[in-house]
Amino acid sequence: MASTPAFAATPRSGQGITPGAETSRATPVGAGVKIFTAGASGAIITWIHLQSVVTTTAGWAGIFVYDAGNTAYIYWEEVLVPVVAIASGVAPWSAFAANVTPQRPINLEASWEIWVTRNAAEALHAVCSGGDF
Amino acid sequence: MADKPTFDVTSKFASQIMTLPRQGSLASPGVNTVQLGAFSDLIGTLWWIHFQATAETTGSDIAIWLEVKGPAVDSSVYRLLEVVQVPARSLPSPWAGKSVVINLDKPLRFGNELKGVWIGNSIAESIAGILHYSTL
Repeated sequence: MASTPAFAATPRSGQGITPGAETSRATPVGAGVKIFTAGASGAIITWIHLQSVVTTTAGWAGIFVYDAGNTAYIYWEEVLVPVVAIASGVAPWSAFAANVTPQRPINLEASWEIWVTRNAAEALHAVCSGGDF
Repeated sequence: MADKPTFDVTSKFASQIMTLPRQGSLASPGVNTVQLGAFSDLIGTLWWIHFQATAETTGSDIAIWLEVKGPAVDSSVYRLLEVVQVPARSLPSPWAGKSVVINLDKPLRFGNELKGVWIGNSIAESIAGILHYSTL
């Protein structure tokens, strides 16, 4: 047990764009995007934001955590995507991941990863904030 | 692993005024967008982005992009962070608004992967963008 606290001393963000349609809830590697890889001492992620750049069709976005030790993907959250047609006065769809917040962050072990998918071939820009321990 | 917290020690503001309508898609900043902040090789925290119209607004939207290091040397890629709706508002008391993605409750902690923040209004109206950030 440690006798001193540990702090994420190195701020870092992560980003990516979904490259295509990925419908798997088991693994994101077909057409998902890796937006963050934890450093050698682990990392903390305090929020993940998803922002569409095109008109959306109904579906979902998936958020995966990659367990580097067990080489396994954990389906962390599914964010429902509604139909939003971009127009004057109508911004493209966006949302925060509900299960990753500053009050309830993800602590990642070394080399663990965050991946994002979209079940339709509609570019989704993902940004996360955090830091390395 | 750090056994004590680190603190940002340098507080900075950046501002730019948008006057021309942005062109191109939302995927990346195009003509008539402006670079609100530049963070090359800095590490720190982006605390908030505020917008203040300096004239009457008639209804538009402001796109905010992050510029991050690309895979090639000295290259950049862009991520659409948010689109802020600007309502019609006459004078006095011109429109003001904030980013809902980056704010005091959810600041963006960034490393040297972040190169800048770009903004662009969809129509030709005068709106200033103000960015507050700090660095280690």
